[in-house]
Amino acid sequence: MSFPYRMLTGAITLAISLNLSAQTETASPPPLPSSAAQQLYASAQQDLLQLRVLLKNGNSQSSVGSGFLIGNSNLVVTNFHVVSQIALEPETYFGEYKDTQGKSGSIELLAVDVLHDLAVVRVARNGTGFFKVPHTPTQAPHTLASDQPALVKLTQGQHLYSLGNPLDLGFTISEGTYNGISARGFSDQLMFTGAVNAGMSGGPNVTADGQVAGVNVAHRLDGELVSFLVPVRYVQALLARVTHDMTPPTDFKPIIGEQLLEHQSVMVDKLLEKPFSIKDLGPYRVPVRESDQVRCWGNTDSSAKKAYTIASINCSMESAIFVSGDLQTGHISMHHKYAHNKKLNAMQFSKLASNMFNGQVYSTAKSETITPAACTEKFIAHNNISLRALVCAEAYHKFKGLYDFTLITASTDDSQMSLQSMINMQGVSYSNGMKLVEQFLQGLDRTTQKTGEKNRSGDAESTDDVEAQPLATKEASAQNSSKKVEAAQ
Amino acid sequence: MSQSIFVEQLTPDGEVLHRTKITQLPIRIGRAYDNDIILDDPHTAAHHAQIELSQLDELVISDLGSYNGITHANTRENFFVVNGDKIYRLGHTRLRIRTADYQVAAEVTDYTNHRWEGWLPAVTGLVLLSITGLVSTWVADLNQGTLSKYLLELVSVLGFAIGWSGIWALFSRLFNGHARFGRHLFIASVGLAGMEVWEHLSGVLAYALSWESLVTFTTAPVVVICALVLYFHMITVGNKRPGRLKIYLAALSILVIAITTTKKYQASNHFSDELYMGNIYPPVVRVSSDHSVDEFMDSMQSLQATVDEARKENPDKEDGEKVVKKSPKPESKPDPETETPEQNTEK
Repeated sequence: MSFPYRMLTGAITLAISLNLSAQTETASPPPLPSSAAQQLYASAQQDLLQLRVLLKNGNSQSSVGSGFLIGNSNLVVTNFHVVSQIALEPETYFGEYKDTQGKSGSIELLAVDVLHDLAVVRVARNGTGFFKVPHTPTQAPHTLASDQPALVKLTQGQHLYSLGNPLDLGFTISEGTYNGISARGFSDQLMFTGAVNAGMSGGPNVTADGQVAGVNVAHRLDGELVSFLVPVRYVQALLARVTHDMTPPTDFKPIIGEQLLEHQSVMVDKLLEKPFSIKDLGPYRVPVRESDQVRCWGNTDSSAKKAYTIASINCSMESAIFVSGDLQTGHISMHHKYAHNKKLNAMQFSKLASNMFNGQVYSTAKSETITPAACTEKFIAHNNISLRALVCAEAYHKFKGLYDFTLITASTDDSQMSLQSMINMQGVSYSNGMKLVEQFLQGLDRTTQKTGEKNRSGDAESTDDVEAQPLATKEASAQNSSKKVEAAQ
Repeated sequence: MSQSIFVEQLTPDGEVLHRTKITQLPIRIGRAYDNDIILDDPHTAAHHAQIELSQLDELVISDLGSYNGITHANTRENFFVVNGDKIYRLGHTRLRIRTADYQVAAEVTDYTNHRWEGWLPAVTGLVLLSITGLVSTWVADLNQGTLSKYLLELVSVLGFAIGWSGIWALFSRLFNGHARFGRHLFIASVGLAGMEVWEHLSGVLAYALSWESLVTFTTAPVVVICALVLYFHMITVGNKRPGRLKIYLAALSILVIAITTTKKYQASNHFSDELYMGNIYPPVVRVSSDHSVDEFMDSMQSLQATVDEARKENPDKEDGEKVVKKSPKPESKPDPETETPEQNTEK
C-alpha cells in the first residue's frame, strides 16, 4: 500500500558544503536589500539545525531532517519520523545536529508525539530566541488549548516561509502561501503551497513577521507544491509537557504504543459515529464509509470482449501514522468487487471467483513488526446473504494492544455472480477490530428478488450505480428490505 | 551316491550365477584347475573346500586348510553339515548346495496382466491424461482462449508423460531386458491425471463439507501420489522385493513432507500450505450448514490469545545479528528521497 504522502526525511550521502549553498541562497536577489525571506533567513539561521540519525555501528547516516531551537531554551522541535529510529532502536542508532555554521553536537530525545509527527530533542546549546512558541508547562497528558497562550492566526493566501535543509544540499528558505486546513487526516494539517522537500522535515514554517505557524512534514508526490505543515498548536501542547532539564524516558515504545492506542480509538469512533453508508453493487448491498478521512473510488471493467464484468468500490483512508520505515499504521481501507457472469460456464465462473478470493491474505513469521496471522474461516448466513468469510489477526510485536485485521468475504448464494469484500485495519485494538468487522459484515446484504431475469435487469441498471443510500441502523436496513419485498409483490 | 547334487554360485542378492550338477562325491572346490568346481575368486585358496558324505551319511562341506575359510552367518567353522536353504561363503564366493530331493517353494500366483502391455495401456493412459488436461484447461480458461492454447497445453502435458515414461522404459530395458513402455506410460498418465482429479475433487469436497484442511494441505497428497507412481514404476522395472520398496518409499515420503512442512512453518508459522480455503463453488455444491455472525465473531475473539502468544516485545534482542542486518533497510527505503530529487530537478 502506498500513500500519496511522502515523509520528508532525507538520506542522501553526498556531502556538500552547507555554508556555500546557504550563502548563495541568501545572496540570490541582490538589488532588493530587505525582502521578507532574506530578513527572516538572516535572523533565523542561528536557531536552525539539521538533524541526522546515524548508525552506531559504522557512523554512517541513515536519515536526515531539520529542526529548530525554541526561544532561548536548549529544546529543538522536529518531526517524529526524523528521529523515529532513535526512539525505537536506541541501541542501534544515535542522533547528531549540525548548524548553519557547520558545527555539530549530540542530541537527546525527550518527547514524541507520533500522531502529529512531532518530537522534542535536547541539545547542548541555547537558542537566540527567534522561534517563539509560547506555552505554559503542565503535567497533564492532554493539555487543553484554552489553557495555553494564544497563537498566530492565519488567513488563506498569507505568505509563509519554510526553512530547512532539503536533500542535505544546504539550508534554504522557501516562500509559499497558506491555504487552509486539510481534513484528510484525523488531526488537522495546514496546507502550504510552497516547496517542501525531503530533508526539510522538522524545519519551522514561519509568517513574514517570524511567528511560527507550523512544522514542515510532508508533500504530495502526485501534485506540485502541495505541502503540509503540523499546526503550531500541537507543538505548543508537546512543549508544555517537556522541561529543559527533564530526564528522558528510557524506552519510548510504551509511550508510542499508548499514543497509537489513543489514536485508534479516536479513529474508530469517528469512523463509526454514524453507521456505514450502503451502496448497491448488482443485487448486493455493501457497506462503505465516505467522509473527509476516507475517500472512495469506483471502477467498472465491462469490456464487451470479456466473458464477465467486474465492478469495484475501493475506500481508503488518506492518512496513516508513520512509526518507522517499515511500519505505517492507523489505517483502514474497504474494498468491494462484484463479478457478474456473461458467458462463462458455472464451473468456470467459480474458478474466477476462487481466483479473486484466493491469495488476498498471507502470513509471515519473518516480520519484525507484526506476528504471523491467526485466521478463522466460516460459512455464514445473515440478512439475505450467505457468505464465505475469513478474518485474520496479527499483533504488533513492539506495541501491546495493537493489531492488524483483515476480513475477506465472498458471497456464496449465486452461481452467476460473486460479491467479494474486504476490510483491512492496521493498528486498532482488538475490541475495535471486532466492532468494525461485525458492523462491516452486518452491512453486507442482498436485495431479495432472486430470479435470474430480475437479477440481470436490475444488475444492468445498478452495476455502476455508486450512489449512497445511508441507512440509519441495522433495524432500518431490515425494514427497508422488507419494504422492498412488498413493493416487488 | 543315490542322487545328484547341485552346487549354486549366488550373487549377494541371492540370484544364481552358476549351477553345477554333481554326480560323484567327494568334490573339490577352489581356484586350481584340478578342482571339480573352479572359482575365479582371488580370495579363495587353490584347494579351498571339499563336499563329501560323512560317516553318518550326511552331506558336509569342509575346509581344506584355506586362509579365509568357510563361513555361514559370519561364523567360521572347519566344516558344515549342508542345509539346502543356507548360503556358505568362501572368500567372496557364495555357495548354496541342494540335493535333487530339495523341496522347492509353491508356485507363485501370476498377478501380472500380460495383456496389459504395449499399445493398450499406452493409449488408455494418454486418453485419460488428455481428458483431465483438457477439462482443467477449460475450467481455468476465463478469457475464452483459442484452440491453439488448448493444443499447446495438451502437447506439453503429453510430452512430459511420454518423456518420463521413456526414461523408465530405458531402466526396464537395462534391468529386465523388457522396456514395457506402454505400462510405464499408463502409470505416469494415471499419476498425472490423479493429481489433476485430486485437485478438483478435494476442492469440491472441502467446500461442500467445510473440510478446509483438504485444500490447505496441498503437499502431502502430491507426495503420496508421487510415491505411488514411483512404486509402480519400480515394480514394473522388476523390483523383486516390493515389501522393502514400500518401506523405503513411505520413509522417503514422510521425509519430504516433514521437510516441506518445517520450511513452511518457519516462513509463516502455519503447518498448512495455504492460509485459508480460497475455493468458491456454485451454491449447489454446498452440504455443510451456515453459521451466524455471532459464531464467527466468537471464533474471531479466540484468535486474540493466539496472536498475543506470538508477540515478542523485542525481537531484535533475541538475535543480535538482526540488528546488523536491519541497518541497510532504512537507507534502502529511498522512496521519499530518490523520488523527490528527481521531481525537484524538474521544477
